[in-house]
Amino acid sequence: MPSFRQLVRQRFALLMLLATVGCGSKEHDDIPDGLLSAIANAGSATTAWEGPYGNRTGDVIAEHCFDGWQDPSAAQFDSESMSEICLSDFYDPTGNTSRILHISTSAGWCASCGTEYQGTASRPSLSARWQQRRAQGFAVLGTLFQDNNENPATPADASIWTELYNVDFPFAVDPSFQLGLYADESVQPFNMLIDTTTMTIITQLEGDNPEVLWSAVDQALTPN
Amino acid sequence: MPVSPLRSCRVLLAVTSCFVSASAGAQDEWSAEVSTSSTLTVRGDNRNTRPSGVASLADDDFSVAHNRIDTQLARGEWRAGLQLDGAWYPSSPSPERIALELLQIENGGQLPANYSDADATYFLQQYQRAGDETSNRFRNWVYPAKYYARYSSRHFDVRAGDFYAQFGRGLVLSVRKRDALAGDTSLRGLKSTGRFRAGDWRFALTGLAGSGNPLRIDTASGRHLGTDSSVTPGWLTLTEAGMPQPVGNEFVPRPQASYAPDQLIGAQAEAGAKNLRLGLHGVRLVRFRCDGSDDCTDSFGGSIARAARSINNGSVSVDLPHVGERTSLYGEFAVQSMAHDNGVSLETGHAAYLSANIDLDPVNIDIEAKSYRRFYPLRANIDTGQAREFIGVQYSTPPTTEPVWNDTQFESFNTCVTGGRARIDVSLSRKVLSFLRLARYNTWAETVANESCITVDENLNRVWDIAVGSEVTSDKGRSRQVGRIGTRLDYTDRQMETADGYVSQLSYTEVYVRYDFVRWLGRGFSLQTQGWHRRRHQRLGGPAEPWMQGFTQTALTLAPYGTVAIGIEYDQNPQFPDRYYNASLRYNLDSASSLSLFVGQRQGGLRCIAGICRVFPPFEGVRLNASLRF
Repeated sequence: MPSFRQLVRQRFALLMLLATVGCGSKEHDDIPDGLLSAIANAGSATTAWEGPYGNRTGDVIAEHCFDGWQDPSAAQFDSESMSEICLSDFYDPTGNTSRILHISTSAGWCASCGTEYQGTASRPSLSARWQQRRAQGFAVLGTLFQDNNENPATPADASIWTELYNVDFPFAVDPSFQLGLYADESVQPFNMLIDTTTMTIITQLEGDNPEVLWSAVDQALTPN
Repeated sequence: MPVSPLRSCRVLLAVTSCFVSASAGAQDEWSAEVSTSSTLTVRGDNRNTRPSGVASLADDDFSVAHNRIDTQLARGEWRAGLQLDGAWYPSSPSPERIALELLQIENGGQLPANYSDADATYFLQQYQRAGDETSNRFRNWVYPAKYYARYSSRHFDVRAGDFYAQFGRGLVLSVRKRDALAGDTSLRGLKSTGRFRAGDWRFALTGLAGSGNPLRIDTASGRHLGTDSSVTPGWLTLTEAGMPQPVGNEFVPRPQASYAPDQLIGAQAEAGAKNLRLGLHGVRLVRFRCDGSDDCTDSFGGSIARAARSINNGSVSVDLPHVGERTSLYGEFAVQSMAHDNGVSLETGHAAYLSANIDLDPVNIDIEAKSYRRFYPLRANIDTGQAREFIGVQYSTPPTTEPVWNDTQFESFNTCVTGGRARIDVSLSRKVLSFLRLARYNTWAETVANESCITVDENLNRVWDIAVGSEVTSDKGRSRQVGRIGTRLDYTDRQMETADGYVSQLSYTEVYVRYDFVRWLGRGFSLQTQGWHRRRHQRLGGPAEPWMQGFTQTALTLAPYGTVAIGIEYDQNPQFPDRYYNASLRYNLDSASSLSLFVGQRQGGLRCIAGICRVFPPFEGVRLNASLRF
């Protein structure tokens, strides 16, 4: 006669095995009809470059539009003077004006993001890096997606951020975190290089790794 | 392989029956041991939801049954083992539900009566993100997590399959289990060791070659690491057979591998006499290289070690176990070189590590010191963009010289650092011990990205860490009270400015109390209270004001039957929920088998063991575990 302990042990093992491999179904919530209609009515924006689109290195990036400034410094960091900035603004199939777009995502709570913008004694600021390379067809788009408390960034947050770091390259606010399609919010700053002649993602780097990032930028800018 | 629930049921039951039968019917010369660990976890809303935070909703409301079957066979000098891991997700969040809930939050807590174009756009953005986020999560798998065959004799040991290894103190190589971080990395390949004597000297030569093999399923998130033929050329096809693969869905039609197995080859020579042991250790890590095809990505990560094509580590060690009668010394000096393809040029890094013990009864002094320059852990080639939960997988662990539970070496603290720690124990009586811990570090890679390890004051953080405490034992060692109070002061040499305009040199400060009291109550009962209460302040990268964080847990144990415990955790950091309550029960079926139940909440955040850290999401739900040995 097995003891109580042995019974528990035998039965529990079987139960756990059955639980491990038993029946179940995934949840699939229905999308409300009203929302489906709104999606259908909204139509789809035309994109200047062809897909299929993806979010990994080697994929073609889809169009994204934000509110921001082409030059925050020139706009005196005034959130009222924001206008729409789209990735298509940087698309240049000829490569005459723009060849590489560097997208840098930041959050107010991210100390490394600030260091990337501000630079240090032994490290140029992001703006200085851009100025050094812009004649070679290098463009930068900075975005801010969260404030200090992980709430969606507002135009006012973007004003503070750009003024603090004296940003003079295109900068946008991304409260719905569209660029979260490319990297999770926990791995900031996130830097992505786009070949603007094809809008192909050529590099994605999570975290602040300046040696790796700027070597990749310079390599991408070097004529083949 | 991806498996249906029914198929995985058959496989697991068949495997279990087979091994249990083998154990029962074993012949005298064979011994077999089967152990299983089955965990059913049901997660609710862990209260970390943020607006537009796809990941913060993807970790809610899912359940996972995780089963691990470990079999060991032995006969004389031969051994073999197989560990099968399986995960099945009875329920998981759908992209639709995540996107709808975010839309609800965006609209003040409820879905709008009439949907606007902006609503449609927002929903589609979040829907796409949620589909991508869940594409490599919540997949059912059964796979051979570890397996090996081993021949071991007095002079020779050879092992094929999975093996753990550490050279020296881990500067050069350290692959092992780390249960507290849910990590278990081995090398899959071949390892052999030969031992021989010549006079008073003993020699051991070890050679190994293999590919990195981390656990592929992270049960905390439901994420899996996937490899496919694009990253497993040659013999890696063999070592990766049966392992989880990337799987596409409607959102990710072209899934990519999230792990490209690294290849490591290493050797170690050790020579030892009575009072002297010498070691020579070397490892070469080689990353997978693309063949040039369009769908091939060969370097996933951005960190300088992860982006390296190859890394060479080498070290020499000297161990003097008896310097006189009261002192022992260990020293290791290592160098590291990396090769990159994309123009990155990094000078050779180096690391010096020293530990000493001086026994001046009743005073005992332990000293650990280190000086590392551009010395990086061997990071696994994991796409942290796809699988951030595996960011801590690495094949070496340079010693931190800090307590294993330390979680305040931020960023790349340990890659460009000089400092050390002294532990002074004073035995006041046979039952009372007082201690002092004193640590001092200069690091140049904590608040700035400094891959080249430029040691200018502009990059410098000065860190002091001090703790005092005592340990009292009684009831013939069955009662024990350990308590300590400590502080950590971490300041930069430069003024730092936060996004809200605050200027300070304060990087991080903390005052804490830790305790572990066990009181023997007689008749098999004992009462234990553990706690860690911290007042923390991290001005840059943390909340603006200091905050309190901690936990206390009280457990009643009846030996040998089991334990019942309750816990309270709290965190005043406004980014996280402030209170967590939990209860747990453990019932020991025998010395090797137990059932345990955890119900309640547990705080998330950064968790570190010996300098390897990962961020865990908060937990809220029920976890039932059965660990059985047959």
